[in-house]
Amino acid sequence: MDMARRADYYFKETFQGLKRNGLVAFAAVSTSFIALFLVGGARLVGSEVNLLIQRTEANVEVSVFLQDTISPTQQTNLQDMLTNMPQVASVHYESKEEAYARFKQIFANQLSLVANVSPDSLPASFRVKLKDPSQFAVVAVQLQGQPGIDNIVDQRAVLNKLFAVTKVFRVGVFAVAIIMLVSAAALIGNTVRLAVFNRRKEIGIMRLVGATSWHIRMPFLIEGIMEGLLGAGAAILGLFIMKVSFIDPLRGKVGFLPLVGTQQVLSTVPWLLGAGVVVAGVASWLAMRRFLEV
Amino acid sequence: MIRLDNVTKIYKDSVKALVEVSLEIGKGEFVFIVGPSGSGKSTMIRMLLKEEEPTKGEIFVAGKNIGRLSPWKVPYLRRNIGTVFQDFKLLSEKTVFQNVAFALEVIGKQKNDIALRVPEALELVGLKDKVSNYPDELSGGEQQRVSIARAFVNRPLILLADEPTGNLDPATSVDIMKLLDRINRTGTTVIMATHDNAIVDAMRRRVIELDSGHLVRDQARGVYGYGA
Repeated sequence: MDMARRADYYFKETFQGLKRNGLVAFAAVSTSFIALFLVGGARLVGSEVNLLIQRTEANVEVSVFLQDTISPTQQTNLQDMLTNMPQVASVHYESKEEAYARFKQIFANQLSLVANVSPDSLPASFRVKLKDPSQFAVVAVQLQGQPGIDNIVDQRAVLNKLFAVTKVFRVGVFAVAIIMLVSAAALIGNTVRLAVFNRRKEIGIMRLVGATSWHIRMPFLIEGIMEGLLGAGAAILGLFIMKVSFIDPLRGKVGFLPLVGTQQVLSTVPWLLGAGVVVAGVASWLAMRRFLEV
Repeated sequence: MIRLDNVTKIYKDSVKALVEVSLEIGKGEFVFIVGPSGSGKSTMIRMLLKEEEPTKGEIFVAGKNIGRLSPWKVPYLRRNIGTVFQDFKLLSEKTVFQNVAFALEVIGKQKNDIALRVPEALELVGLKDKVSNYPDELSGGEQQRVSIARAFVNRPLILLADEPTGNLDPATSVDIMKLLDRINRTGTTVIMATHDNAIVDAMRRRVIELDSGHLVRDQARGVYGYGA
């Protein structure tokens, strides 16, 4: 049989199958949709964290907050010491006035907060950039006990806490997604089982007249994979809608935060389509092995 | 065309369906397999189609030992064997034409080939005027003719008929037998399992009788009962 006719036959059979099993097929498709939507969502949260890491790794600083009582000599010594450390890339002195200006900028949306703070209440600091951000401990040990230092803060440690929280969230979403994927596989397998049952008479005749097992199985395999693909398509659409309606409005409003965009959503597409096809294909195959004798 | 060598079939519950049966059926023969229910007729037919395997012995169809046939080749064995059953096995949502065409479609025949062969087969069984009817608009005899057309449309070497007249009245049965005879005359080997003594007696063809799985008679130009 020529390819066009074969394709036409399989397509017709698949479409009729989906129509016949309406409600069960809908359950299978919608479960795949939710499962793959969660997989995609978890991936996007991961992308967001990566963007944050990239952005901050470049800017990450060690803040050496100074006591108000520090003397000019102590300050100069400290600056010289920092500048001469091999791990240090650059040192910037941030005065109380500069700190206040930055504070005002960050909390521009919360003027009441700004009104309660005077330049004098913010500490001056050295903003130290390291060549390798992980060398913080080496630098901190050397600074320990130097006069005039109030507090040393590694921004990376703060960020790491944030990343740890998002990681727990991601793993949680992923675990739920896996459970949903298993349910989706079970439902797809069930639609294939029903389709086989509905067509048992045709299958019997096909076997008798000598149809090959591939020819008998193909429509059921395509029907199952189609359900997985429909779920994946809906999940991709859902992720784009989420991006347009929730993430895009935030863009520019939180200036210092990088946000996932079209590129990151697009990068989930092959993963979701692939997962949809593989899960549905395996589910259909197993269902046929069990319920379709050829 | 078909050879059974010491074929024994024992089911799991140790029921002996066939015991040490050996026989040979030549090309173009017309053979009745007779015997009471449970004598092993259906088991023999199922084994010829390789739906079941013998417990012991070997079966040859068209020169091939089908016990050695790999599973993916079984469909090609079945393309050489047309099958007709007591319950017709027609698809009620397809027309007469579509039912016959289905047998060719699912083995991948070209559309123009199908358009040529289906009317031929329907003409042979005398249903040219009913191509667009659905099975439940036909009489039992007509439905059996459709199923014979479907079995024959791919021009098989062998036609297996399992109680083809079991659901039909005597007059209609005679018509079906005439049709099977006509198919036999085209050179097709016809093997028919039946209870119907009137038909066997009238046809005077080779009779193989089974009783409790044993081959008890193999007689050229035989009749249904003993003593003929």
